[in-house]
Amino acid sequence: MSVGSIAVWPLERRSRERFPLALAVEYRLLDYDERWGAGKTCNISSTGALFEVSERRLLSGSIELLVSWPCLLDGVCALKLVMKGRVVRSEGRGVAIESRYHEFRTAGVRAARKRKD
Amino acid sequence: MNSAPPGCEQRENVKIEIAHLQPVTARPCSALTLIIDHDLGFVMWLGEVFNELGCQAVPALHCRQGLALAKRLELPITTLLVNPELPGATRTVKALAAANPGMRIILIRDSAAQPVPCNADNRIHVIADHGVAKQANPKGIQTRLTLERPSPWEPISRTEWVARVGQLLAKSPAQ
Repeated sequence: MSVGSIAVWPLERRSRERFPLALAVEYRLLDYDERWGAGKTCNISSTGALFEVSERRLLSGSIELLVSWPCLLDGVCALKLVMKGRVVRSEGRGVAIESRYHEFRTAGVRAARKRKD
Repeated sequence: MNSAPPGCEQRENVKIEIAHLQPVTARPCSALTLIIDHDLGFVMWLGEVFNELGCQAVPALHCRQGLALAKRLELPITTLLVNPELPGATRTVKALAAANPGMRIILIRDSAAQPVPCNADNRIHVIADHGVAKQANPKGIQTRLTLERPSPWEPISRTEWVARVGQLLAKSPAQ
């Protein structure tokens, strides 16, 4: 199921109060010390997010998301939305989380350039 | 020992990079749009819309964060999108307008807002006029531009929003 098919996603029970956004996301499972994965967002709101992971898996517990801001500042400086919360649903590749905290952060020019390389 | 769930790999390089994340402090770059609103989804949505329009935008979730970010940016803010209902919005608009002469000001309005809402301290008055409003306050900050936040269950179209914001920016004169 693609990111663009959120309208029929069985996980999505509140599709329109969140904004449909397909942005790169990295996540960390906080209950499983340093377990990382990646995927793409389907939608985001102040209270949570739905995203699609790269590989089919079941996620649970506390989670931290790093969502890429759509553009790089000055073409090199990456801005990230850091969202912490808990997984409320996980089916196939779809994962819904409830947010408890979020803020914007930058990775800095050096980190962004390193990533480009 | 790797006890990660299947397919959930350790990513040391990412871990190192994330460890160096710093609170938002954008480096000097070209002129940009500052978006200040409490609605995270809408802010991200606008970020994508501006990106599609080829405009660089940075987000802030409250006015204090917006002011702090603007101080650190060291570049002119050409457009400010701000929710006038946020605490400190008037002061923020004044400060940013003073620091960025010619900055466009666009007010974010809730779709359920009454035709003539006022912010908490009554210094920004909004007079609706078919989606385009006129604002003025005794201190001289004026704008005729508003962007209406979509209602929670309103169908939303990226193409339509790119066109809507593009038209708004085309109309927006430097002040």
